[in-house]
Amino acid sequence: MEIDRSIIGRTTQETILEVGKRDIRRFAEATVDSNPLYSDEEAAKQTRYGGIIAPPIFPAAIIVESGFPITFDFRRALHGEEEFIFHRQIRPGDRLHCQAKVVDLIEREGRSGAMKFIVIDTDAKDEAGAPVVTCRTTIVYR
Amino acid sequence: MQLNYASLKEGQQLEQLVKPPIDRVQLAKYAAASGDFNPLHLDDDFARKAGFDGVIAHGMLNMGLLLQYLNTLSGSTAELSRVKVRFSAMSKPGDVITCSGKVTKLYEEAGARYAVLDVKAENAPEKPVVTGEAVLRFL
Repeated sequence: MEIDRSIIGRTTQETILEVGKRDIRRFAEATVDSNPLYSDEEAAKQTRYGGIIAPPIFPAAIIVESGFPITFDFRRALHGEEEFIFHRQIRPGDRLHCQAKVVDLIEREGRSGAMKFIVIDTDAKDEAGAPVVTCRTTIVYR
Repeated sequence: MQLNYASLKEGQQLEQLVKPPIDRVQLAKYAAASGDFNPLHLDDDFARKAGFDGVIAHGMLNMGLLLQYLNTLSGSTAELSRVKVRFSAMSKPGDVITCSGKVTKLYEEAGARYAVLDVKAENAPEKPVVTGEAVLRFL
């Protein structure tokens, strides 16, 4: 696939990510985060959230689940930047409708030749279509 | 560690969070949690062929440690509204990640109070693996 501005607008098929307590707990364990909000229903009930929520790195799973809207040579790619915009907390039982889309491609001349910055937005929405989180991934491609 | 909006000042350095050393089992746990099974993070032979000394940590795991720091700062007084990070270096098993932050801006908008923070995760002094900017909304 030619990586140029013609890829802007390409999307993945929508996927559905069902969020389980175990998925949430695994992220907390992987980051060595003992906050009871992520694992202890009784303790989480006492907080203003009223129950378990997902840790803020959880959208990483949304990105992997959605996949990329384009194919490219991974050996030439670097994950340059990542932005998360949180619209609401992710909770167990959520069915997240996830889709990734190429939103921009910027070309620059670097010292070692042409560099391309591929910007991909992965959006997760709830069953009613309300936004939950937006992940903006910038891939540096040489 | 939880922040209190009224006592924050622009330019203020915030208390650090020092994480336990990254270990290989943690990389396997992160792979399972995220679904990112890139062998660069799990298979030493593969990583050596790719030009590294051995496996490296997922960049997103480093981001996760920085997000944990932001949530610790938020406590029950604020919520992480948005965060943008740049991946500047690799980390590897044995690395101790230290997260630190600084208040760059305080503002109110539509009745809500916000703090903008510059944050970074380093595996040695002045050696950032992830740097970023976050917006906390106070409750």
